[in-house]
Amino acid sequence: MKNALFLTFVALISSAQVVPSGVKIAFVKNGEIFVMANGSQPRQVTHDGVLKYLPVWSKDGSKIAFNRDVDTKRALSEVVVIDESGHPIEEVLVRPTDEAPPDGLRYVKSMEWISNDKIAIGGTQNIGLVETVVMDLKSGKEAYNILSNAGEEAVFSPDGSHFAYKDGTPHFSPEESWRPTLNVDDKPVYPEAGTHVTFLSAPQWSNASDRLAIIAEDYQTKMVNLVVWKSSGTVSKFRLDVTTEKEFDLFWSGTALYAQSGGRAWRAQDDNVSEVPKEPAFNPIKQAGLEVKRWGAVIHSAGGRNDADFWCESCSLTVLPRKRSVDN
Amino acid sequence: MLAFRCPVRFLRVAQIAFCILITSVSMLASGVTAQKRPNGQTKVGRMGPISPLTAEPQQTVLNITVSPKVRVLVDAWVEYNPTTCTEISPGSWDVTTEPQYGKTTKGTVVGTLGNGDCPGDTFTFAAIYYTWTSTDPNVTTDYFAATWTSPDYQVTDEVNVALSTVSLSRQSLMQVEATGTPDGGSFSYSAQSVTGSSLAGIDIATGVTATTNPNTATLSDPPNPTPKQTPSPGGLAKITADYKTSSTATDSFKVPTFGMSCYYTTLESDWGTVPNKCLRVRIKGVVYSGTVTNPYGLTGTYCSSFIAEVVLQGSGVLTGGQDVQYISGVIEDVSVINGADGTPVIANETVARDRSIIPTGGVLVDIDQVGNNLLANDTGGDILGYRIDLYKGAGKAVCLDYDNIISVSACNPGNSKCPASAIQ
Repeated sequence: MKNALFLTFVALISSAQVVPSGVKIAFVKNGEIFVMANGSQPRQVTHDGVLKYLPVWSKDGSKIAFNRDVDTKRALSEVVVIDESGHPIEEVLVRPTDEAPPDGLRYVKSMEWISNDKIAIGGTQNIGLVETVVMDLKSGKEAYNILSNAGEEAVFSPDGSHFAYKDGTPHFSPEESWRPTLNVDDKPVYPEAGTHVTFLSAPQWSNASDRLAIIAEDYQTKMVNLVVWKSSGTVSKFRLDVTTEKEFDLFWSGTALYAQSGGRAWRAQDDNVSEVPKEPAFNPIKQAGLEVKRWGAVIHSAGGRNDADFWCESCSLTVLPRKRSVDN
Repeated sequence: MLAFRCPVRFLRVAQIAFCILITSVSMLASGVTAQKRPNGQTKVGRMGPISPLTAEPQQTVLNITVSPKVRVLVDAWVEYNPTTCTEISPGSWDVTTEPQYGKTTKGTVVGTLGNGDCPGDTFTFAAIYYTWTSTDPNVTTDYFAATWTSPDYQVTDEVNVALSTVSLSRQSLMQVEATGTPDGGSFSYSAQSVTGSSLAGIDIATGVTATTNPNTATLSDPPNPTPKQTPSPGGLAKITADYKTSSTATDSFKVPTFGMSCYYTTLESDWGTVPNKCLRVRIKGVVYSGTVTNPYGLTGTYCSSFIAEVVLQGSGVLTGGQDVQYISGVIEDVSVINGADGTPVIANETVARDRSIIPTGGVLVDIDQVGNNLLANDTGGDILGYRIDLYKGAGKAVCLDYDNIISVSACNPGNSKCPASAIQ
């Protein structure tokens, strides 16, 4: 059914360069936000002439948040929330100058809705440092921030109740002194204290938000493990018989977890892990990548640039980071 | 049978220009001999499109210009009946003098007559081709002779081959030079994406025309699509020079652009002053404010927020200028701060890069509007692909208002470790 739907999308795109019903695209063109929704032609929904970036749909597809330039003497930037017709809902300053720490967030690189009233803003600080600032739309204030020196932003669970990030690789310290950790809600959960591992994937939450997976390689022995943290606090490790694979993709299908790298794939479920003969046909990462390419063509044909976000209930795009160049 | 044929008429037809890559085939003379069927309704013709010649010389001398490794159709003939417009024979070619720097090949080609006979009818012509194969840079001409023979005719071609070449070289970070042979051609330039979309541009230099040989062109930086936002990556462009005579020779090389940003080591004075004016920072859910004494083995009292940042970033600079580094749970004085490659980072000289683009080993890079001889000896978590971070020293002020331009770059000339596959 999913494939059939996808093919329908493709057919519609190639014929009319509009999006089918049930799919919404927000994108930036000439610094303004445009929307294509439910089969419509592109529609400009902002008009104030101030440069805007990173539009992102709320989880229910009813609102769009985006980043807007402000005078940097006032703040780093501004988060604006509108409905899909362009009516303003919220405007919140990000890092007002008088509240900004000296080495704080310098650029806004990504935005993501965590819940109906919280938005996470990710970006870089100084080299190697990545900060995620969670804005509370109700209060208009910063709720909390997450700092990592591992170069990657925090990853939020689908229900917004947890966040995870890698840490423990201070830029100006020698690699042999690093002790990278996987952290959940600002607490290290893997590995045991003092153990040196290298993470070979991004952390990946299960759809039910109760498990978190990551691939870790022991710095000394080079043994590679698929690591699963459960909200109960337990951590399971599954050794993968690999030698050359260095980067892994992870995705969940129900309670089954798939890891893939270099043309090989493994499936883990109920404390068992086994290599599967080939890449799963339903691989949502691959499918989402295809979908991004398709939607990217639509946006480019409408004159948009790469700042774009897609919302649809039935497709696979939610497995990808919200911000992704449509050229990739 | 032959006695019943009409006398042969010679309609001189011009040289062919069948292959788009054959650039110059100028007929100085042309000839057909051995009229074996003086009364027959037979005739020979070259493949068109052609401008008929009136003379009837005994020998054909052809001057052609070719590009390396490109097969060029040199000549093609057919014997036909002009009354019925039927083919008598495509004939065949024999090479009587082999070329020295290329090779000839024979075949057939279907086309129409160049002399205007039998409009709409196609014939199968016997064709001879030439391909320049030599890689000797000192050779630019070649010669061969071949004879075409049909049942009633014979044509001898003497073919002078001139190699059309263009050599493109980078004279400096932003200037390239192209030299073309033979003289009389015109240059044009283009840039195509190998990867990325913010690429170097190229135009003929000011004061230079397309026919100036050697020809100078200038590279240009792309605009930054997000000047106030997260630095954008650059990309890798294939810069191509075309030299057009009657054929087109091409040469190319790759030019990278890098999206720039700036970084620094954290500076104690940025975090306030002890004991009462320390700024605060929240790291991993912990708010650091106030002061701390003798932290991690470092003697003295410091703002807690500064020390937390030193641990987070791995280094810092004390107000008096002393470098400190956090290693394995201890903050200690150091004489230099090392980057990811284990060598010191130097303000305005060190750049952090993606090692898959610029590897380790002391590669020096030049970056337009930034500087020359920059040492690629650091990395950064967010520095992926065609991004470069310039180390500016200590404290946030050094990067204040840093313009995140996208700049043309090159390995410093003469650097043996320049990764030519990615950055030249």
